[in-house]
Amino acid sequence: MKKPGGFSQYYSRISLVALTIVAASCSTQFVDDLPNPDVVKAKYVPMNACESPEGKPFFPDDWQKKIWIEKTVKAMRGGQGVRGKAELSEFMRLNRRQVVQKLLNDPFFADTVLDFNMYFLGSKLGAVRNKDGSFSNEVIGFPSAVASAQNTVKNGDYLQLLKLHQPSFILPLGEVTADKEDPNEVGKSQQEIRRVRIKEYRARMQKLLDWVQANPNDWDGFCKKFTDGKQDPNGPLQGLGLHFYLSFDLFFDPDFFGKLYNGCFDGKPENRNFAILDALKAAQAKSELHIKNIMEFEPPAYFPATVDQIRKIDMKDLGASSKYRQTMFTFPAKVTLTNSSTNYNRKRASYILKRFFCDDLTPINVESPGDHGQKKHGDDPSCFACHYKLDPMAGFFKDQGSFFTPADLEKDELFFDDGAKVKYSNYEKEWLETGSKDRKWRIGYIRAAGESKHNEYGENLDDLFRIIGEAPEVRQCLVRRVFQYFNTEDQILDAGYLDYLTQQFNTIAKKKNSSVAFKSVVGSVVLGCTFAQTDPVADRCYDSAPGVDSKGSPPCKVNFLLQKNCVTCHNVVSDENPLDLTKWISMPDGSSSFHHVDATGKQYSRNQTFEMISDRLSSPDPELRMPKHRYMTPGDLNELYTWSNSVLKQAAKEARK
Amino acid sequence: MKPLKLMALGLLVSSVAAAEVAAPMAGFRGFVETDQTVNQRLLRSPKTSLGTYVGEGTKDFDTALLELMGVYKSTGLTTGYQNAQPNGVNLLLWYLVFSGFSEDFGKLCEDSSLLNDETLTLAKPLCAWPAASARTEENLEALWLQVMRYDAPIEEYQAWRDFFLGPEFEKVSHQELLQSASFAIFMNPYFLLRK
Repeated sequence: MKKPGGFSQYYSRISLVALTIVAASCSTQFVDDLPNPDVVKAKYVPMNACESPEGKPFFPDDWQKKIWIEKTVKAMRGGQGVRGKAELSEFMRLNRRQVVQKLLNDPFFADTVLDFNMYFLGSKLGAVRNKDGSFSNEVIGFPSAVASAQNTVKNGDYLQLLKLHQPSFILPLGEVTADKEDPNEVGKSQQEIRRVRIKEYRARMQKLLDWVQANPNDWDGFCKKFTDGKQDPNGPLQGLGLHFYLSFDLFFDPDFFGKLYNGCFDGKPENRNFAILDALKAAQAKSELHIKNIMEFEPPAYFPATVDQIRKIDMKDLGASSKYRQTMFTFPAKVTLTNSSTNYNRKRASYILKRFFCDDLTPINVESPGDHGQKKHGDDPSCFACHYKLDPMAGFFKDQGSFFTPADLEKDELFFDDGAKVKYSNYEKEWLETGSKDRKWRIGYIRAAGESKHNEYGENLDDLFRIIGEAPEVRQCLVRRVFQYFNTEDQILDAGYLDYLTQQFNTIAKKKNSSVAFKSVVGSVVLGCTFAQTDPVADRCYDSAPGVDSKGSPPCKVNFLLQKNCVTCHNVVSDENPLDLTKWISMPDGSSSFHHVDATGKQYSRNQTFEMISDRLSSPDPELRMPKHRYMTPGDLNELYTWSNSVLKQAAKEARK
Repeated sequence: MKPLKLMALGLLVSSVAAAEVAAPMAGFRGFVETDQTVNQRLLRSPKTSLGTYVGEGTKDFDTALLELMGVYKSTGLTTGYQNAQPNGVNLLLWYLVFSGFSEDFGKLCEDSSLLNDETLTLAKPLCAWPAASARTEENLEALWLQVMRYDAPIEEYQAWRDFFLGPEFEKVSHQELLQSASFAIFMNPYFLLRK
């Protein structure tokens, strides 16, 4: 292809640009005379940040500093870039650390926290705000994300994100569309349409009450009117703009209209054992309360400009009963994390492992069913590779049926989302512990199938979220996601650096609080060398823990894991130990591998070495499995095993060429 | 000529850049982010959507095409960033979006309803193109920074500026200049791709 005109030089410059930026990576002398003493005390920005040799400027020129500022501001202000020349000049006067600290205190940093929280929970949006500046309604489906972001602004408990019980949040009432067939609504403003509907609700309710007073026990007649779209008082109420994430459960609450709907649903006498009039009057009272309180959230009077202005709502004020349950398992979870009569909560378990533990359930046949096998699908060795942790995790949800509706213990039944029904007392036996007398249930977070001392057990969702709140794997997962969020998911992360950042988070969370700890990690990541790249190479580690010299070491992705789990023994080649995992050497064919020799002292090929490593990592025989008679976390094991296999795949690919 | 040629240039740039690295990781910023960026920087009304340039919002297309342009697609709790890797289809969609939008952008001297005041103020001097008074580095830099801000290295700007100050655009109308110059920025990998 002919390169046209003046652009020919353009191409050759591109690579130079990338190289310049990589080479320039990192510095500025951090200063401690910062404007906000609280920020300094909080040590948001630790000293492992990307720095260049002493005396050299971090940015070769102003333009490159502006690139970093634009990227950083956008990343830390929920997608909003620098606001004009004046603000850019203001940022240019600051060093990188000051820029980050200023942004950590910006009210719009909460947008970033909220967006990140949504990402952590597996529901990242394109943007948390709509183009008119309003918040996306999706966010109220994730109250833990909102609560945590609000807490972060106030340096409160960021880890509210990991808690089960959450408040409800409400956004401005949504747009209502005029009914084209209703002359009372056509051509009216939003506010007017809502008032027309309130009037319509009251008229319908009064008409129905009058009819029920005259026909107190006529269920069939009542139901005909109550479920008729033109007479149902509930209809206009649902048309006021309350988002369905909040309204979905609300109107079916037994103390609202739920009892009456239930009575009309299938005509069973046990569902009609109350007076219609009493229930209707109760629903009327709830409706009036609902109207009174909901109108407080009518726009434009209510229009939260920042995350901390998103208001909490007590669902009881909108008509919910005291039995109304609001947890992190709100509407989006209910429709997504379904439970079927064959799945038995494993979808829910997979979600928890993936999002909170960063465990993608990579199947590694290292765990053996041993004596715990119960002749089920999950006991087949190849299936057991995932099911040993998936099934016990699923048990935490055993009481949650379709749409997270609790099992009906009185009727001894539980409904699935596929419409099937099960006898609950039989169903829960799926998780009865048969291999140990120490506990009743085989429910827990399983790190090692045969070694219960490493595992965390429980019975229900409260136990699960207690474990999530305490497990080191979750904190590490959170920190990993921060790195991925600000960089990209496919950017390699040095396990040692991850460990370092996690320790930083834990230390600051203990000394100060989790919000300061979170900000500290964010600060580190955006000041890191990876974030400073304009064209990062995905399989290169740009950041490492302080004091680490990676020259001649195995690839950064696994080096730390090998140090942590393997090199106590495999640190030098000897008669007893043919493999040195500290030496990453060049092979005659141009590839790289570990120093690994056979009995005659001859170096094994890369394929031979990695086949042996994979076998040893995944052997069910404790005498062969590495690390021998030692515990390695599932995360470390996954990482090493996956990497080892990827090397083999790469070798096979190269051999085919 | 210009849009296709300029897009080809942009693609070649990205392929050269990709050849430099072992495992390039750039993907599209995605429709939502790019649409918001264009809105924040250039547009008068937040209700304007780039999607209209591929028929989004009409009954024939609705939102399906936009999903091909890089989106976080959420089905409740299983979000994934989809269609971010450039391919023939999504690149064609971006081409359609920005060839249409830059055509409207090129009309800014005659119709000021689309763009915000700041953009109009900065771009207006280019309405005198090809007069010598308009063909200045200063005017082009103002346009570049208004659209790209500092998302790209200076070399990108310099190459773009030199190209449009060169002989190929010496005698074209202001409309063609604005259309081609803005299109070249929109299709630049630093504008479209996440780095």
